[in-house]
Amino acid sequence: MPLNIIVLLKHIYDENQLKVNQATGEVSFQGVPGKLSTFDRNSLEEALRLKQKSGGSVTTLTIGPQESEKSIREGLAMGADRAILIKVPNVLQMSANEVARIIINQLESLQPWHLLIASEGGADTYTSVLPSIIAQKTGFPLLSYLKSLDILEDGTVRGDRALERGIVTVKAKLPAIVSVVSEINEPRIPTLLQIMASTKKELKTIVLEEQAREDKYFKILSLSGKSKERKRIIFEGSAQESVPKLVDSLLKEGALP
Amino acid sequence: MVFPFKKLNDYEIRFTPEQEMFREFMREFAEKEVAPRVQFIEENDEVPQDLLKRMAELGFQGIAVPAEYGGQGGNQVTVSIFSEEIARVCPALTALIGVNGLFVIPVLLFGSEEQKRKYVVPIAKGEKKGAHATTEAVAGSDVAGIQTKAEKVGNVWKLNGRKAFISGGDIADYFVVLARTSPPPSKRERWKGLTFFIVEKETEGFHIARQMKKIGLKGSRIVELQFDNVEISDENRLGTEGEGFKIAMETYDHGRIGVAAQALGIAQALFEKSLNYSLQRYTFERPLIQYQMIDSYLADMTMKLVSARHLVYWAATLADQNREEYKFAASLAKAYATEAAEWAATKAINIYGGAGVITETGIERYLRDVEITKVYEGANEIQRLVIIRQLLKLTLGIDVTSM
Repeated sequence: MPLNIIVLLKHIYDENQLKVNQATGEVSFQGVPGKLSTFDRNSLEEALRLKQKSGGSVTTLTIGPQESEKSIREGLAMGADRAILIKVPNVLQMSANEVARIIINQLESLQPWHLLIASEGGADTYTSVLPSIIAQKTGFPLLSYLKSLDILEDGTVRGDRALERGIVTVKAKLPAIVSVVSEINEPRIPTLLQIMASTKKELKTIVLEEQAREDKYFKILSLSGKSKERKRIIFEGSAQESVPKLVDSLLKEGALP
Repeated sequence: MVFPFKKLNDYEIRFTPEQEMFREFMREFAEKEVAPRVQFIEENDEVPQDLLKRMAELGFQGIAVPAEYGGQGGNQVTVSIFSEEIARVCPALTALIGVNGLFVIPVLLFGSEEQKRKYVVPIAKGEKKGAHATTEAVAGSDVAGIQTKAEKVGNVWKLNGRKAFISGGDIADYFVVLARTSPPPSKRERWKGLTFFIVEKETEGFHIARQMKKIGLKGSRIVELQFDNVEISDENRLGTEGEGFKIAMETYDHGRIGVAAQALGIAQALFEKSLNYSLQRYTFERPLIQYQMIDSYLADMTMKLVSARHLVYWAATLADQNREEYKFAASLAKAYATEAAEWAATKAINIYGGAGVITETGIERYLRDVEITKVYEGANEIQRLVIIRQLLKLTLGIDVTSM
């Protein structure tokens, strides 16, 4: 059956180029280039593969500033059919609840849709809560952290959840919300022809008139960079001598069960 | 102030957001899919089949070919972006892909509609490969000095001769081959009487004589081609009889920018590596970057790199605007960028010291790779001649050769 798929794309500050003040932990966004959140390319890739198999359409949905257009265009070049940008000035200061509320409001206008795909987390804040909040508020089934995903003939989605201690196979009726982990696929590189053709695709921009609401459960107090010093311990000697020392040390740190 | 141009805008370079996106994807491709294979390519003098296939599928063989002929609809700027980003990681791949352009450009510019359909489309789509055979052991930059002959017998041409240094000739399906079809009318008109032909690899009497060993660009092999009474139908004549010299020149004018961009990628790689190394490597308990002579090398490398980048994309921009001046700019860019890259390679070795000449660090490879860029598509000595001749032609309308 043809699938109408919605993919959440986020434009983020390139996390590899953030500058952190070592003394205060303050993060500087000045002059840091933006990019499409790394894992979102996996969700888009999965949507495009599903569409290639079953037909249908892929719509990307982004909440962010005007600069997000760069990432959205990348999604269109990869093969999304159309894109929606909901313009807000500072998405980093918005709570996940608020972002979820805006997305849910938008879902209505995208009916009929069958699958909403999100990534395992934003490559910037990596809160990973958005898909769960959307599912909880709308009542659609949630299949999270999938490392594989299939649409069955009876109109259900089945996937393998990649959890820390194993794999759980889950199944749900469409429409459903899924999140995928980055190992699910290798995102495609578009050709020059596809990149140029993407400029003709539809990008709908919606400017939210209302102010962002106060969130009584969730508030961002500060954004700061934490640097972690490595211990740099060297265990010398032969394997017979050094390995037990290493194990002792790991046990002391609580790094081994 | 703007001489030899007319206004400031003549120096303008502009990029579109799509070109920037293309650059970012090319960077990603080179880092993810090419970099891990470089050692294999280097050690085996061979590009893995799957990588060749992948590049063909991504449309690399037809970047500047119009979409109606199966290409990507790009232009000289996008070809340059591609060349630079790929060469930054593996200059040999730029050459290996670039030779398809040397087949495609003359066919697109001078070929018949049938020739374009039959030969350009499959190359642009990545199903076949092309190569360009002008150079001989006795004639390189001196195109008119070639000895290969074609004689017309009825409606068929008989080709005899030998071509040398043909990049990608070992894997190509189609070749454009330049031959002398009539003797030069006079010493001054040596360039007359040359004609291009399209030759398919299976044609009787045509074979690869031998592979030539070389330094640099491992993976992009060069061969000698032998033509013994190779019969070519007149349909496979490219352009009109006697038009060969002009076709060759037009082709190299375009190809030259690609070579300049290839050198630019090499310079970029060397600069990045040298800067990194200078920050990490300590000697006498201080990082290299604290030494003034090292900084002097790095600063000069930066100047040359940035200047080369402006020249390359400026020449490409002029070519895309169909400006006659692009040939002048292409020669500036080619000579400058290739020499800047070579200079950067020697200085990178100074900065790296012993680590610069062992193969593991990959620095010496760039030095070996860069050498041929000073030679092919017209040696840099020839470029300097072209620069002044073009300059006088464009500004004063003087033809130096007839003074």
